[in-house]
Amino acid sequence: MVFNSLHFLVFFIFTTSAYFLLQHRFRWFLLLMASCYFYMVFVPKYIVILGFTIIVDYFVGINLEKFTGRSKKIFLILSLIANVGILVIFKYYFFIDKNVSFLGDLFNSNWHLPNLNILLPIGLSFHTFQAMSYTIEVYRGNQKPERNFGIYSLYVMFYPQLVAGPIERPQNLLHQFYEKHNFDWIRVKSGLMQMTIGLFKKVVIADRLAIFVDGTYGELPKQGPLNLILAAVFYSFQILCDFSGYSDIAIGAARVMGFDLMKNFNAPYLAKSLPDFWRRWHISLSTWFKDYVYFSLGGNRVSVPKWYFNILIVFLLSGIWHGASWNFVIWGFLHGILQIIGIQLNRFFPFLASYNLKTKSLQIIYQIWTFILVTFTWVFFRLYKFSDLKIYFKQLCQFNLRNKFSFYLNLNEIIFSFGLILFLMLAQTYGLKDKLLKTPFFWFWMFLFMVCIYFFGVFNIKQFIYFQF
Amino acid sequence: MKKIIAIIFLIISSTIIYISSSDQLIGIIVNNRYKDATIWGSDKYIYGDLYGMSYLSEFKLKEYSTPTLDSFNRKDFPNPRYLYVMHDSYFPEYLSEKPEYFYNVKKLNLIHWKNRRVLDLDSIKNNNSIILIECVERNAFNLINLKGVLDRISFSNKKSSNSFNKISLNSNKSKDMNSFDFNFSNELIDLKNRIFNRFIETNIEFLIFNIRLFSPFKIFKAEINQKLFGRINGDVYLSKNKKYLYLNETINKLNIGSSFYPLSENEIGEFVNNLNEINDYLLNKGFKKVIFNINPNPVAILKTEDFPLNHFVQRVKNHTNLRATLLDPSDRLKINADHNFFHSDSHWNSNGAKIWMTYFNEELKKMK
Repeated sequence: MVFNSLHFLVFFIFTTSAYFLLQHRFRWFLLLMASCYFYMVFVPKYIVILGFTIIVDYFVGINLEKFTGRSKKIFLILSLIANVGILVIFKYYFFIDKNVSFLGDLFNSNWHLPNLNILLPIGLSFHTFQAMSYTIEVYRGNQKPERNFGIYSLYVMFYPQLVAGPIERPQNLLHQFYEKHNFDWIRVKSGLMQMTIGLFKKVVIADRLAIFVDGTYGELPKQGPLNLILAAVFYSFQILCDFSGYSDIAIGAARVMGFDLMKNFNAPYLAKSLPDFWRRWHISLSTWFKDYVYFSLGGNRVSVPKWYFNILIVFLLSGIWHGASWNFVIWGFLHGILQIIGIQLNRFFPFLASYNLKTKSLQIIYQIWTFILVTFTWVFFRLYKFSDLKIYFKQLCQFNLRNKFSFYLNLNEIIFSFGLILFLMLAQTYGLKDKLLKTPFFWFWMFLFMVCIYFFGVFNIKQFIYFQF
Repeated sequence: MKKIIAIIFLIISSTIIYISSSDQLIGIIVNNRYKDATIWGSDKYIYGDLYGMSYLSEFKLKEYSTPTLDSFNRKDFPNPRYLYVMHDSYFPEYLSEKPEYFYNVKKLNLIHWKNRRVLDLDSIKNNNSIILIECVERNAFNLINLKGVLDRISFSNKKSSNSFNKISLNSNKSKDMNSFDFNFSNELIDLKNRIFNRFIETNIEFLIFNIRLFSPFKIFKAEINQKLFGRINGDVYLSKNKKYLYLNETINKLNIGSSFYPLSENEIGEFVNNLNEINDYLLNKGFKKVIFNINPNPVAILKTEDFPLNHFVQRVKNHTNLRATLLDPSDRLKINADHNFFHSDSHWNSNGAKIWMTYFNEELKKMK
């Protein structure tokens, strides 16, 4: 079920009410059953795949503590193979088949992998990474293996973050299932406010901007430069509000019940450089790659060429994680290259470095420049086909007055959309959520948000963008 | 106090989930709500299904009426038939117990596309049976193929006083489209489909919010969005002359069911093959005649939009490979087209239904 649905609202009320009514020792079971139901609403039978990886990683975790040396490594590799293998089969199989077939065409041969009639299980990329973080941390000795199978299953399947993160670490989440969470009115208010803000971002901002973006990108040959630039800018905010909105609902829902999930977004478009952007965007994924791939490759404690190679590898993997398509690889590659260029520039021109900015106006310039770079890369993220990319850049360079502006939103709605973007940026800059929590008019603000969501929300049950990953 | 509030929330939420998971209970609530004229009743479809989606106040029109139809005297029929009809909401279901409105028909057996039936083979062979497969243009590609038909009817030789059993389509095993198809019993599948009801979201929405008490808010919301942003519900399309509402899927050129989708000759040819395949299969099962009827999307008849039509039904009917009998009421509906369709509903009105009944009976008369 999606977060922007009545089904989820009723499910959340039921689960939370039952949670606080139950004795502490039964709560984990309720959450596990609720999480199973939550996942099975999408495609019931795919719980078998989730169950398979849970069983493998549970037993691997226990054996990682028992064994040492080579045997210990073998168990870790078993877990990684199981999780990555599931990803390869369900997420990358058709991509591999397409490229094998393409290679075959080059050699005038008919190469194909066997036909598998399978769908991508929802949340696969997220829960496999969360499961792998568990086995890696147990292997490293940073986390004791979880012996309670039900609790471990709940760690993987905890419904608020099951299908689109944040990708949690065992050190943060596992122990929370053992702690007793009493009803805490301040925490509940904070959770509800975050959920409401998340829903507002999704249905009022993201889904509204999506109308313009989808319209423009759906008719690329007709578009002029102004449409294309506006669509690119709108898409930057659409994906931010869509994804951070989802994370807000996930984190808020967990907080209501007393669980603290990691922060996943920290005003990413206020970043002053690309590295700063990646410290603020999809924090759970970027730290996952940093801790388990980048540092394992040596990080920056290697020669400069190897360092750059490590950066490229991390961003290529991040790109391919997002989707089984070359445009995501290009997107990841672009980010890697831009980071390397930035590092080189900082080495030769240290006064240019973003940590050296003395004045506020310079900081704003850097923020705008970083936003432009990120928006440019989002174009590759959004346009799946090479042919569409070609048309996009060709149309962008055509300053043809005959290409009129296409109004997928009318002028009022475009102005309203800009107003919403401005509101979002100001809210992030000045910490609106925390201020609202401290006011005595909390329920008034909640009511106002709900009214705005109802009257201005775009309710076509558009799926969250990151669900497809 | 907190515990009492939690218990209340628990009871309300679990009741909502339980009722919304049950198509039966929702059906009871729907029927009661439409009969209820107070603020607790529903007016979602009283003014048209498209009004119920868009809540545009200028389309709050009460247009329904039952057509006056000609009936036939059964004594004039020497060899009356059993008429099976696989149908959608265009077909006048209120005639299910009134075969006298159909020429030379003794008994009517209706199979809605959302149900599944087991038909008695012996009954079909003995009773001079014909079958009409009817659907609207926008659903034709999805529904009218051999798998679509077999998903909804199966055959047995078991003689029973009731020549068919109605089973909800939810008990169809072969719904999920991928390799992990486990062979579970019908009871388990029914339980699964009950717990994971595909329509739970719309059921919850209807249960909680489809009462007249909330209608003013819905109308106000529709007005704000239309006046400020020029936008209406994404599933609904407002005609260029602002007189009609259409289902957006019948306009959207990217949707194969749209009257403006650029259908290729290959796609038409494939569809014709589907008709021929179904025709041959059902004739083999003992039906004396198989008749297809595709009702055009209202926009294809009313012609309020400038986009080029794909003339889907005509192209299929005129295809050289077509062996089956296909009825196309388009030409008749185009006469005084304005009088044949609702303004705020996706169906034809009583005039349109009457035109079709007359046309269908003329075709039945031609059959020996």
